[in-house]
Amino acid sequence: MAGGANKKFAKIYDKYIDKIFRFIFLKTGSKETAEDITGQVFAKGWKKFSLQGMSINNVSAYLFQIARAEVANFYRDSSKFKIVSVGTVEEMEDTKDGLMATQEVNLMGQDIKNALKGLEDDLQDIIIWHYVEGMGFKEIGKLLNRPEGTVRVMAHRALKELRSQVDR
Amino acid sequence: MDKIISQLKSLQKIKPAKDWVVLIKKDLLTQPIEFKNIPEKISFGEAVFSFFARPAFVVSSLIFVGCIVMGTFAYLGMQKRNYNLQAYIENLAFQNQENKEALAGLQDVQAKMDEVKSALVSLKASNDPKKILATTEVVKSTAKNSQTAVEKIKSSGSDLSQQTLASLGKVKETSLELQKTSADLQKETFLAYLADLKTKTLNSQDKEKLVKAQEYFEKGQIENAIILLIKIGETN
Repeated sequence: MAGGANKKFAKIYDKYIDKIFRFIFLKTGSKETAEDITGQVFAKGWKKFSLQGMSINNVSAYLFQIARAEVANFYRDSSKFKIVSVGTVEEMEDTKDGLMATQEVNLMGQDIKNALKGLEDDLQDIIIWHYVEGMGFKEIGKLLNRPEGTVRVMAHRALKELRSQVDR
Repeated sequence: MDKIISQLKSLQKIKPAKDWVVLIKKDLLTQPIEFKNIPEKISFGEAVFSFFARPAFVVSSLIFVGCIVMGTFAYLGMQKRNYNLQAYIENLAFQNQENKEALAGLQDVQAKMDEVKSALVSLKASNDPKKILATTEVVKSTAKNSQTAVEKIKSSGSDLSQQTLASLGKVKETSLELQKTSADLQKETFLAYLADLKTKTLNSQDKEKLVKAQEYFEKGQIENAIILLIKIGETN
């Protein structure tokens, strides 16, 4: 049974570790912070997994909710909201899987950094979840506790704002 | 495809270091959590108690359960509500040290904690060991949170008014008192319940839980011990 639980949670871990790390990294801009917070998120997930009879309804939503809360806690004492820097994007690019040239990644990081800076917190999350992670509006709506239609409108607005900032 | 969207999708290439991923996974999956006897499906009772039996979750979420006193604990009719006490105290103190609202807020927290203190007496009288164990764990954790919050504010070097400092001191004092009271009640209840269970006929799974719970308790891992003890008798 214990082995079964380990296996089950290991699958969850394997499936979501990159996504959760990426989300936190994009929100904090620090590899070390992202590692710390990601570790906490999965530790909590593991705990819940054990206490709720080895099951979590909607794992993705649960893990992202924890991640959001942990990031919010991280920034609670600071009004600054740091977005991924060029240098850290380069650092974080997976050297084996990464297909983009470093220069291109740097440029991409620069664009995103500048564009995302001006967005509200929820809009940043929507951008990351929908356009980076490919999550649907319905799923994001559940995460943000907002109707799907509202999320769709917000995503549209977020992208529009991003474009206008990049075009500047 | 839109250039921006294309750039955003490219961010998927950001990944954690492989050795870190492996290390965390290994650490995580070897954490001392008892799975052996946790059923695939949990009963209603477990579902209710699992909330109370997750102090780590409660601590991290800073939920102050039961401190909004509208009655008495749990089945005595106490309504519970999520309450981010730590953040609340910090906000109150930092908003404006001269602000009367902040002071009133701290006094309000103080009053609620006093009520919780009284409610612990009623809880003890309930003679329901599982409820006592779970609720005292929550009270302990949340009281610890408020203590941490107060210490954090005091050590921040902020220029707090004397009145605010005095209120903070009282909150800390009550937090410590609550921690001690709930820990004492918890220990007393745990030992009594453990002794009681030893006299009962248990199935093999529950016997294992009992032994393991005692081991955890002796090692000071109260949280794990309580989780196991609460689950005894609730499996099919």
